Amino acid sequence: MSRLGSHSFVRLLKCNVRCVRICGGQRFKSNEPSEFEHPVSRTIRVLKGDVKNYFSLPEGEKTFRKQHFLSGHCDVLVIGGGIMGSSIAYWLKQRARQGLHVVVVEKDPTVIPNNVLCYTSASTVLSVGGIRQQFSVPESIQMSLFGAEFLRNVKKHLYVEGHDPPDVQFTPTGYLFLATEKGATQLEENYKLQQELGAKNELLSPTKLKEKFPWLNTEDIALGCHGLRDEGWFDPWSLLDGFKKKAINLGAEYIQGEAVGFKFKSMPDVMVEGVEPGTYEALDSLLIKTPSGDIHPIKFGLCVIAAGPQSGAVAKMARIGNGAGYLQFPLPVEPRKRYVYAFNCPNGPGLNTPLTVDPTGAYFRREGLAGSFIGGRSPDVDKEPSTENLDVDHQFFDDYIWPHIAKRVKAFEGLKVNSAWAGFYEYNTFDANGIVGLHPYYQNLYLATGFSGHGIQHGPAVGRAVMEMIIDGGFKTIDLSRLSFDRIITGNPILENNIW
Amino acid sequence: MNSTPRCLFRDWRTFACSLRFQSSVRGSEDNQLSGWRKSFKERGEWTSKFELFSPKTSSEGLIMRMIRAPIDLRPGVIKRWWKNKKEEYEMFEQSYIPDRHEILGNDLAAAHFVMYRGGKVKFSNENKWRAGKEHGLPNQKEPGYDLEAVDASDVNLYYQGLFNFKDLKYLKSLRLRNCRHMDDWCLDYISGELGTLEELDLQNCQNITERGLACLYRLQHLRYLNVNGIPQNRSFELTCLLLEETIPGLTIEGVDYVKQ
Repeated sequence: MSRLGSHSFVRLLKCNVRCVRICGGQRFKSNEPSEFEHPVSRTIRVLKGDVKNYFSLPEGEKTFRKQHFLSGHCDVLVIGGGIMGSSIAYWLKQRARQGLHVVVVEKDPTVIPNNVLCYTSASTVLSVGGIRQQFSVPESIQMSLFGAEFLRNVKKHLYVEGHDPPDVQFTPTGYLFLATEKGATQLEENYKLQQELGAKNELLSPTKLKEKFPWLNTEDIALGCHGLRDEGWFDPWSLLDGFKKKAINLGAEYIQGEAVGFKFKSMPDVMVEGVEPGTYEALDSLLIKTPSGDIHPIKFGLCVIAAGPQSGAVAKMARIGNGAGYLQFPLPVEPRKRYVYAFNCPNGPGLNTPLTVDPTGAYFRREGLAGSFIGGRSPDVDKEPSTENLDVDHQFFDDYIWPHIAKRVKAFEGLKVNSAWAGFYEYNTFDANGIVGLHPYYQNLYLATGFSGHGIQHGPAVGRAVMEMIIDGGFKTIDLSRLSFDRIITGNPILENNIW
Repeated sequence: MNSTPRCLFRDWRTFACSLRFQSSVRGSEDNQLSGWRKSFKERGEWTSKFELFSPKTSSEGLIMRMIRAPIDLRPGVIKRWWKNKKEEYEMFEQSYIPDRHEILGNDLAAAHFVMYRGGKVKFSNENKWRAGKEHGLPNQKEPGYDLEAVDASDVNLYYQGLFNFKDLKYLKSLRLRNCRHMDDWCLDYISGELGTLEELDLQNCQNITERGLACLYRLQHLRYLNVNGIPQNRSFELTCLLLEETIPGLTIEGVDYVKQ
């Protein structure tokens, strides 16, 4: 904050800033003063801008105005503008309004001419967009239930005046998990937990399965679990776009840039549990590389790492993983490439095709109505594809996916692959579940990452959880304290008890 | 125990979930965070009086939200705000009340719910429709009252209201004509919960799309479906065709397959 001592006052006048922020969050466009500006004319200019802003229309009209300047400091800085980052920005702004200045930094390289970010390689838009409650971790079930409720009311939540409400195109067709003899008990336990927490699904014996889904080959299947409510798939791009537009409408600022480093500030007076007194170094600001190549620092009060697959790399810049004490534990989130194949099979299963998950992990679902399907599978641990780019390996489908789905559905023996794409999971190598909460060393760094393929359905819930952590100091609705970074330090993985 | 009053939860499921969740997760042995890292406050070290204002001990609520929200007194905005408030109230009014189902049993509870709001019901042992607020139905659980048909047309039912139709083992017909708020999520609920349905009337339910219609494949006993008045396009007609193929014995009224 600016103290008006004469020394800093003169410095403020003389330095070549591109914008000046007035406390309280109001902004105005300033001409770039390349020479000394007289204090009186500067005062008049500032007051004129204030008066204009007072009578201007609400934030909605400023929604898509081009950003001529970048903020120099903010209250909450969110690194990553995908589903997690945008959800966090939305929840913070809709609660704190002008009380918190939120800046979201997104690095997506593709920008179309009128400055709208395109998200071509962000995991969010490449996702298949499924939502299910069939997990074995209670927190995941809770988050998915809230996600479904949020999607149901998305037109009300993310309504921006003057624009169409977002249409997420939810297709309520459910998930069908199949288990062999080995996994049947686990499936039943998961089913009981899900029922307890309010999800609705049904256990089906092989005869019942054959009755409901005649195209299914139930040869080695002992049990199936079919989701009956709030399960299906939706369009992740509309949800992301909805969050982003609403966040900007409420006053959040999206900056295009790539995080390249942090600046630290030594604070010897601060006492942190587990840290040697006098050695504490706080995170002071983030260095952003703008598209033009300049390095621009943004000072922040709080920082949230929601950078998806690159979260591990961003955390390394904050010395998480290459320090001492709590900082010796790296953030175990790294990108893992997953392929999705779109194929066509004219005499395949019809309308009654939920997203079917084979015991081997191969999955497929109906896409549209003309016999098109989408399918994929997570590769075995030792066959992970390289994450250098998003190129698709078509051989992977023929070797690892097609045999399993052709066995499960006879008609798929004659399928034809139309296209394919790849995306990165923000894979948590520790236990494949999300990491949410404050970092044990840094008192101003929050984490919301590592959801390993479930980020899109947990986005709304995690955004709300981080908002509660920041504003209320603790989780108020869904308690995600088990998913904090602490479990990585104590070595207690929270594993999803998969049935494959 | 959860101290937030029930009325703040729009949907009884979230409330019930939060209760169950707290008791099942917070107390479990899995949660080892309670021991290994204690904050200075928990260790009993000195704290100032400012602790009273820390976020953990204070809660903000309505007043802070009202202070922060921008004052927008345009007539259109006020109208929309009032409309939203009325809708919220209506949704709360229609939400599921567990006590009602405990005392009356599922069938009678659903019947009371529908008739109080101007709908009609028919039981399996009678041949006439019952309607009106003076319905003379028993006030306690009584055997012999199996709900067979519900006519909730013009009742303005919301998604929350559908939760009152729970575990109806004999329900054969559901009419939801002119219920504007019926959308794909409602069809998701209906197809998952009311598996015995043979007749479904969705005339003039404008918010339904072909995606919601596709999930009706779960109603294997469905014989009659009315989709008059729903905005239709090629995918909609194709979905109806596929639905008629998937469910044997189904006829769909209101869709025109032969187009110019």
